[in-house]
Amino acid sequence: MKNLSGWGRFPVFSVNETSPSSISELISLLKERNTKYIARGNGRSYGDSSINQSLTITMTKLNRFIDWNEDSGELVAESGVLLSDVIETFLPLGWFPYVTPGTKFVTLGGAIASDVHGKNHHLEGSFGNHVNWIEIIDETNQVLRCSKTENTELFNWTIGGMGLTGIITKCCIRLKKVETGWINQRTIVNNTLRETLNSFDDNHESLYSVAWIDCLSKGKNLGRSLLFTGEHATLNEVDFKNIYPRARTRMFSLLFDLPSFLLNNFTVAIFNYLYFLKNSRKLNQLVDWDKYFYPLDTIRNWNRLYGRKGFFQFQCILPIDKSYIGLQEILSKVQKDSSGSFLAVLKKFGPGNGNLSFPRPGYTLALDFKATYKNISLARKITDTVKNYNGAIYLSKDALMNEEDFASFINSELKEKLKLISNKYCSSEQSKRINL
Amino acid sequence: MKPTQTLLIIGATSDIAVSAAHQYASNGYNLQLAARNKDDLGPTITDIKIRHRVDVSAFQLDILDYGSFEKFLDSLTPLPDIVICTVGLLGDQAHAQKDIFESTKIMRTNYEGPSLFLNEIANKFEERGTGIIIGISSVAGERGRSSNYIYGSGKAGFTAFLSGLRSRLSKSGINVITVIPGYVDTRMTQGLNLPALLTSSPKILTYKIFRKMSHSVIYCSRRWYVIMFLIRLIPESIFKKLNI
Repeated sequence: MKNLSGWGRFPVFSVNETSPSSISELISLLKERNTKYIARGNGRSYGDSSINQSLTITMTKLNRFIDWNEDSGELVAESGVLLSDVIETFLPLGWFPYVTPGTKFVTLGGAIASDVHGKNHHLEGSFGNHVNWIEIIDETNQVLRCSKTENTELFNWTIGGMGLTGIITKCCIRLKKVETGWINQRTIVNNTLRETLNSFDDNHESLYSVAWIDCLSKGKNLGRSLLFTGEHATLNEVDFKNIYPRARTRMFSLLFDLPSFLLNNFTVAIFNYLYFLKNSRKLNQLVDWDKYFYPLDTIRNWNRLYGRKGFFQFQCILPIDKSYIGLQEILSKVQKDSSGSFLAVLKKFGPGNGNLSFPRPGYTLALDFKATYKNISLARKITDTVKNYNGAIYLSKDALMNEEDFASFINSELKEKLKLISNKYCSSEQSKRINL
Repeated sequence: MKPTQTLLIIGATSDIAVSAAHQYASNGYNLQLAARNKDDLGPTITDIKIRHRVDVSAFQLDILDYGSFEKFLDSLTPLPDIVICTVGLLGDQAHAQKDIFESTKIMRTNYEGPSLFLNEIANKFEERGTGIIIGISSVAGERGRSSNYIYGSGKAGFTAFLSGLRSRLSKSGINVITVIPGYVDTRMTQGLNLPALLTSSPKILTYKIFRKMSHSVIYCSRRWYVIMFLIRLIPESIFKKLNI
């Protein structure tokens, strides 16, 4: 038995864990098992979606590349390959993932199961939009290949399916040709929530866009933000000696948990003030890919910032027409009750993939909270707001929803369909909690 | 620029071997991988070629089939610049101490096979006048313990062999390195309850080996160096009563 948690380190479970090192070993293990199980990638989902106490199958040793087509940019790999490995190998050849989340330390299988999104969702969709095919182990322990043309239902439900349709063993993804490893970043200062929402529309053409919101600014400055847009830099814009910069070495890692009182409204206010000041002074800059996409990866265990008890993330989506009023309500509630939300990120989504996949048209807000009773009850309150405005909550971040909450975010027809397609042996602590 | 160097790995399906293959390939080394079953190497070789874009060739070699060594060495083109032997068999002590065939297999796999093979390749290196020989031994070979002395005695023999070979070849410009890992998180130790503070990963171990190719003896960590130093100091009258 081993203690496992998601990236938020809350909640923690005592788990029976195994990590096979080949697909054949995995299959013979499944043939012997008599319990339910869930596959786990690199453990970067925040809550309990990659944990099953009876059996958690960690896939990180299945991490081999299988085929690479340098003309089309198609990569076949085992599902435990990390996105950081993909970048390290293929960026020097001029290829980059179409979609990347805020950390490069996710497995390909995890990225598919969560259908992760990036700053370019409004133009290029989510991770699942760039997957050619997936191989998955079904209930009879056979490997099935599924794609847009073969086993289509299974394919569509596996994208964003939280690992409940079976274990993903291999996948074929498409990479994108890039001229350099640099991003031209522009910063737009917005002083109100209305300005923030509008600036996403004004910058719709920018490939990447995301806003950092100062959660603590009040009154007419509620929703004040910095919108960061980005484009891949072209060859003539960068130093020809360093076209594809390497990943930064991790500057430091937190060897122990910081005392949790260090993060409070006062320290976060100071941080926000300095962050706003620093970034609003430099409006145009050339940033390397690692710093642009993965600022937090530099600190290896940044999840220890929140202290021993861990933290949770709250990420919701609100439909476009309800976004202004909904965000206003959420931000006001956060200001009233929270003890320091350090990261507040806003992003506008384009069309989504449906089924269980999270991205859909609207504005999505992500907030970090220390795991305290006060913050948990706050999260319950904002969950109600999300319900009232017909929004939804991102399963890969969730650690708190109950069955009733989830029922209001998914229509019963979809839920019935999922029951038919999901693998009866697959379940996670989350799927049990919300009766998925 | 230096011409591309070639690394030969014996026992190439082990976790430490695969990790070493990546470590050296990512630094531009071409690889020769030898395993008892050549087909098992396929996925690893494809992966290494895609990741590191170096030449990798696969060879069949049974470390207990001494008669095949000469032919195997002749088939290596080029003769490698460095050889790493990661061959080892932990076995099951409780079973082995009652079964002469099992204990023979453990002893031969840890000592006889690797030593005889490295001796052959050492002669070739000596003829050429360059080369590095790296043997993965174990802390278990530092002092025989009741819980694993059959494995440990094989490793002790291997450690002594490497020490003697190093001394013999020191005049010929060939370096022989004895690697003495403590616990490493691999398939060999899967299911054993290893203390986290004393357990290393294949990646850390092979990074150390790569960085220390001019050293003679490499411990995986200073902690293990201190522990083994203390364990060697315990008088036998006390040691024999310890349940370790």
